[in-house]
Amino acid sequence: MHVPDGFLDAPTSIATGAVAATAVAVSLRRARRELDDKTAPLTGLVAAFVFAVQMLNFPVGAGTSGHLLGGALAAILVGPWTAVLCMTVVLLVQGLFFADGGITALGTNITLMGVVTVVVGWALFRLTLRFLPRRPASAAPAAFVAALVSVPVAALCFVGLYAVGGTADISLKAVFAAMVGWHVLIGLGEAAITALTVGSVIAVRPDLVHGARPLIAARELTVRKPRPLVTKGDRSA
Amino acid sequence: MSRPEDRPEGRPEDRAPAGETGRRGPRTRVIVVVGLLVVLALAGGVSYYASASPDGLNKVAEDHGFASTAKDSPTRHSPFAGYGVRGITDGRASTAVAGVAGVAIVLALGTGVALAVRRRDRRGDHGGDHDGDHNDDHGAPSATMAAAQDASAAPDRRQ
Repeated sequence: MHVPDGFLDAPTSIATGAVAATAVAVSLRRARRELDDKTAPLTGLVAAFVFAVQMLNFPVGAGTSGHLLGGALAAILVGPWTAVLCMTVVLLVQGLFFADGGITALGTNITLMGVVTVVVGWALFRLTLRFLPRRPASAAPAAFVAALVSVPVAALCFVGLYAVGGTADISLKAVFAAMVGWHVLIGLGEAAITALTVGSVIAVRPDLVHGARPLIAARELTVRKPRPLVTKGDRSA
Repeated sequence: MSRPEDRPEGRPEDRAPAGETGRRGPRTRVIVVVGLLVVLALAGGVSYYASASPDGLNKVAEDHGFASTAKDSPTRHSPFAGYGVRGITDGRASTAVAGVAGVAIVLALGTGVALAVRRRDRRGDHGGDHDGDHNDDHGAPSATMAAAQDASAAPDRRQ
């Protein structure tokens, strides 16, 4: 979904640049709280993983492909603020070194792929967990839902930006339908990769998944107490 | 956010498991090394088999007549432009080198950012005012939080 230079006019690009800069500045402050001895060494690895998997375009039919965006995945693995920083690093490197996504469009790309997917992904992950049992195994299905929805929402935001500052006179309705349609399919791939990755890390070291920490606390308690039901009641009280 | 380390202390049964979880399963260093190998295999090997079809946005731009408004990136002459290396004619090798180089750059930058953010954290921890930046919006709570995190993460460091 890397937006090239020229799709959006200058005022819109400046506005998304301001949004991106603000998001990065706030994230630099807030990420401190997330970066403990466990997540700090993983931050570079998560960014590198997102970069690598973004190279792996998968076909979604009719001569169209998609790739992982990774915002939801990064948010679940290292926390939302750190995820914004991870995604920004990936998009910067892609724009500067790989000519993937424009330069005046960097703010747009960071906003769509580095902020919108993180915010939507993290919010939906937390929301979905409320409806699932409080155990580490719930993280993967919640990650699936979060990732699935994050992609079409980012596509929707692009259409919104195009409505404001698109450089061509086109049918927005048609573009809206096509963008959301294709990105629901791409979202399924995003969801599969995200759930698989989160599930794999959970299986090996659940404590390394930032979003799963509250789930571990719950499980540890039931394991250690002889009467789990009493413990649960105790906890919620 | 209700992370384990945010909970009030004083209930040993709550804190003990948090320490234990750090030691369950392979060490963090092992995870990082295995993760890196996976990442290198994906960027340096699997990437060659990626679909070359236009992605969702490009496809929509083509179908709906705004693809032509795209401008070439100013960095199109970068040695890695288009996920290949100029001068390497073998497609597989070209993609592999570009992918591995990208992973190295992203890894270095990502790790650097994480370390820089943490280092600032430590400085705030000592109540320091070294560069005239007060950080006083939530200086006190974040310093307390950092101290609590350091304390809760301490057992992990001994690995």
